[in-house]
This record gives sequence, C-alpha cells and structure tokens, in this order.
Amino acid sequence: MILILVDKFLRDVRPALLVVCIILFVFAAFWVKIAQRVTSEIAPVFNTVAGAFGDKKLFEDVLFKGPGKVSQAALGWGDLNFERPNDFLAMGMLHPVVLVLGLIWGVGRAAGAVAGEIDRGTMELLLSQPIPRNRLILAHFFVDLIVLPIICLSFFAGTQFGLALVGPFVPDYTAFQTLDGPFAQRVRGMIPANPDPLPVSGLGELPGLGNTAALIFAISGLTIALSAAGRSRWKVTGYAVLTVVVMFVANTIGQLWEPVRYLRPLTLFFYYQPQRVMLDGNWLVNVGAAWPGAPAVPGCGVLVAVGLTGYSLALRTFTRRDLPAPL
Amino acid sequence: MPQPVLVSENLSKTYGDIRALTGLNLTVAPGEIVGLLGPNGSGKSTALRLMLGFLRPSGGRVSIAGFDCWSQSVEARRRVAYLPGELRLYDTMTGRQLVTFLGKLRGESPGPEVDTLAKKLDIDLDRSLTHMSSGMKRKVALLAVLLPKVPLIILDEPTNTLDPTMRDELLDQLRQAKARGQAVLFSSHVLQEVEAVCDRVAILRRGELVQLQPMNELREGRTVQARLIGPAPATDPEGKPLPPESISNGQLNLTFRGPLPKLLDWLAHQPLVDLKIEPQGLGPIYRRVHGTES
Repeated sequence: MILILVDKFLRDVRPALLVVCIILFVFAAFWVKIAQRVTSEIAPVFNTVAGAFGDKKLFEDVLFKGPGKVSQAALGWGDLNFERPNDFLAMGMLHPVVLVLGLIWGVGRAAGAVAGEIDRGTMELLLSQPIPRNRLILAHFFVDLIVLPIICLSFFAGTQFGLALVGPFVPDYTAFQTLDGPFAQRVRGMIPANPDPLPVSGLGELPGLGNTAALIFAISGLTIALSAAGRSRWKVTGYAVLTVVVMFVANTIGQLWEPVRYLRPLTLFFYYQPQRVMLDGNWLVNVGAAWPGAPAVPGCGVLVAVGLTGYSLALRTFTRRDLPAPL
Repeated sequence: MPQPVLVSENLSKTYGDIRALTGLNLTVAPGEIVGLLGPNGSGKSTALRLMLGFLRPSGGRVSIAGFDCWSQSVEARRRVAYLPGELRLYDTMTGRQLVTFLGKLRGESPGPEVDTLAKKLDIDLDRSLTHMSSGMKRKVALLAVLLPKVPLIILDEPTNTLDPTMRDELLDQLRQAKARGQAVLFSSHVLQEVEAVCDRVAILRRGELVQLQPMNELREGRTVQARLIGPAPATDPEGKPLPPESISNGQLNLTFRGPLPKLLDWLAHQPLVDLKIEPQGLGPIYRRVHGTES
C-alpha cells in the first residue's frame, strides 16, 4: 500500500521536480562558468596588482568590508578563498538560488502533503480507503528519501557538465599585455610565462550536497509537523517560511554581532556547511564557537535529526487529530 | 435478524461548547437502506465523518462490522465505501486512473465490471478529470464507490449535481446493492429520493436524532384532507375518538394507517365536499420536525 502512495505522490511532484532539477542543473553549470571567470580571469589580475603593492589580501579586504561583510556572513562564505576554483564551486551550494529553491521545495511539498490534501478536499477521498494514517506520513517520508538525492544529483550533474563545457581553469593575464609604464613592467615581471591550470574538481561537491539534502529534509520535517496539525496549505506555508527565514536572519546576525552569537546553534543554517564537507571532508560543526565548551557535532546529523523529529511529530499529530471538512 | 453492519451507540461530537451530534443511536442492517435527513448543520455529515473515523467521538461509539470506527478505523473502513458530500478528486488523473488507484488502495484490481458500470453511468473513464463537469466527476466517484463489494455504502448527498436520469440510475444501483445484501446509509435533502429507496429514515435536528421512521409504516399510511359541510365526526375509521386537532374551521386533516376500503367506507358516511387522499410521505413528518427551523 505504501508503494502505491509513494508512486502517487511521486507522480504529483514530477512536474515541479523537473523544474527544480533543471534550474539547479543550469545554475550549477552557469556557476562553473562564473567560477572560471572569477578564479582564472579576475582574481589573477587583482592578485597580481595586489602582489605588486606587497599586500595579497588587499582586494579581498576591500571587497568584504561593510555590506560585503554582511553578504559574506549571510551566505557563509567567510572561510572561502576566491582564488581557488574548488572554493568558488563550493560557494554555489551556499548561493541564494540553491537556498531559496531548497526552501521552496521543502516547505511547498510538505505543506501540501497533509494540510494541502485537507484544504483541497482530497484527504477525505484518500482516507475513506482502508489506509492507516501513519502510512500517509511514511509515504511522504519515502518520497523525500527518493526526491532529495535526485535534486542534489541534478546540481552535481550541472557542475560536471559545466566543467566539461568550460575546460581547464588556466589563469589569464592578457589584461596586462596592453598596459605600459614602469608599474606595468613590474607587474609583467611577476606573471608566469606558461601558467599551470588551477586545480579544480567538482567531485567533492557530492558529499557536500549530502549536507544540502539534509537541510532540505530538515525544512521538510519541520513543515510536515506543521502541516499535520493544519488545514490550510497557505497558512502552513506562511508559518514554515517565517520560521526558516527567522532562523536564517538569526544565524546571519549571530555571525556579525557577538552578543547574539548564542542563537546560531538554534538555527538550521548553523549546521549547513557543505563547503567544509566538500573542501576539507569535515562533517563536524563547531558548536563551541557559539556555546563555549560545547562539543563539535556532525552538521548533517543534526539536520537529519531535526527532519526525523518533524516527521515523528507529524505521525503523532496526524494519527490523533480530527480530520476537518474541506475549507 | 442479521447482525447490524453499523451500530452507533450514544455517539456524540462536541467542538468546544458546540454540540455537533448528541447521543446518536442508530443501527443499519445488511440489505437495508437508511436515509439521514436534516437541514444544514443538523449533524448529518458529522455523523457520517464519525463513522468513517475522520473524527474522534467525544462520547459513545460507532462500529462497522464490529470494528470500532476510531480505534480500529482501518478495519472499519475496509468494510465501507464512501462518497463525500464535498467531492474533490485528483484532477491530474483520468477517471480510470482514479478508479484503479482507489481500487489498489483496497488491495483490489478492478476488472471488466468497471467498464460495464461506466457504460451504465454514461462515463468516459479515459477522460482527464480536469476536463469533466462536476456531475461527471460525481459519477466517477460513484462508480468507485459502487465497485467494491463492501458490507456498507455511505453516501453524503449523493445526488447533488446529478441530472434526473442519473439520479434514477443511482437509486437503481442502491436498490441493487440492497439486493446483494449491502447496507446503505445516505444523507440527503431530497425527500422524494429518500422515500423512493429507503427502508428507514433518521431525521436529525440540531445534532439529535428526533425521528427514526420505518418507511413501510409511511407507505401504509394515507393523509386525508376534506371540507365538511355538516357536523364533524366523533370517531376515526377505526372507531377511536378523533383527535381535536384533526378538525379545524370545517376542514378535516387526518392520517390513517389501515385498509383503504375501511377508510373509504368511513368517508362515505361523512358530510364532505372536496376530498383529497394521498399516500403519506415524509413531507409532513419532516415539516413537523423542522417546521420551526426551515
């Protein structure tokens, strides 16, 4: 029976899934091109000029002052190095496009799962059949298990496609060739004659995207807990989006402002660090940075635990509640 | 007497201070058609939703084939086919896909009887539901309800949006279900269709069962309306004293359950002009119960 429900729910999400996967695929491929442009065309120029002045971090410091710092904090780019292609590729997983799509997917699907069926009126049709209510929630859980890897793999496929399309990341110094004068002479002296391609591999993205799947699962779990208690899809969507946005803002402010740093581990986004997983293979999140003395915890583990807790709450609520008439 | 398929004992549902249903006692036997009558808000849908296990009773219990509708809801629902009043279907499916999907959830794979019934109900099952009118959708849902051979069929206002031909076809299908030994419980606002097929009718008012009327009693009864031009009779055709409310302003209003010749013989001895004799229907009872509300 659960397979019949899973099959039905997968059919329901198929058009939306296709759209999300295509967007992520195209975005990831496009992000590779941006990474190539920044790391092999823009960064070499700026870094060479900064090196000529004896301060390699000159431009980075200027770029990430004031509002730049806020966006860096908001997107979790603090540890990343713009000169390295893999670092730049890792930023793709932290990009607002990915976060917003993850939010839309997680909230939209889970809000529709129970509250949506109730306010559309189709829940009566479904539950007038001999289906245990818990099977309905479990079917949605299995749909998440199937769909989230597909979403993440579409991003990974986009990156691999982009890498195959744009070719090697060879630093480009041609901008200096037309310059003249003593400074240009000095700069040209610093440029390698045959620069080596920069090391780049999107393979590390695969475990990093595991963190992305865990984040969407957590959002989905949180939303389905609300959905199982609600009767209006749009109300549930509103509450879930509000909760997630408040978490995002709290995490961002916590990075910028020491007195509220303690809020960060209370948000999902604190545990979303796919760049660390991708670049360092580090699955642990240092909770001690916000709560002194607290041990490091696996970020994915926390997100999955939040998702599972949400689903457990949904099971509990939905099997006990009255099923109201459609709105 | 066969064991009832549905047993409701003191079934109640409250929402805070609002009493949606109070102490409903009702049984439905195999091969019996029971109609639930009452205006909007009288508790009909609440009663049906309690029977489907959608709502947890605030008091009492209801069971289907011996299974409690809340705590053994799945087993109870395995023995019921239900047509919701507010019908919403999966518009992304075709009629056939919907019927197959619902069948699979019951562990059944619909056979050739689907097409036979679809032909009777005049449905093109291969059309997308999104392109069907509300009446067509209701027919598809009815087909899905009539297919499983379950002991109990529950229908919430089933003839809504059906044209007269299809209404007759539905009532005929209900008679066939009864003949197969299936019990049918359905709610309706339309007295004629309840009269046409039901064995008993339960009338609800403000969440309470106020009348449980066997239809055969009604079918035996006749209402007599006549104008008198002489002294009013003291007794009825059975020789019992005539209730004073039967005569007013020279008008005789009488309900009589008994043999027609006896009634006609009695009438022949009364000083009458203008006589009307009708089979007793639900109308007078319904108006008596809901007269002050409707």
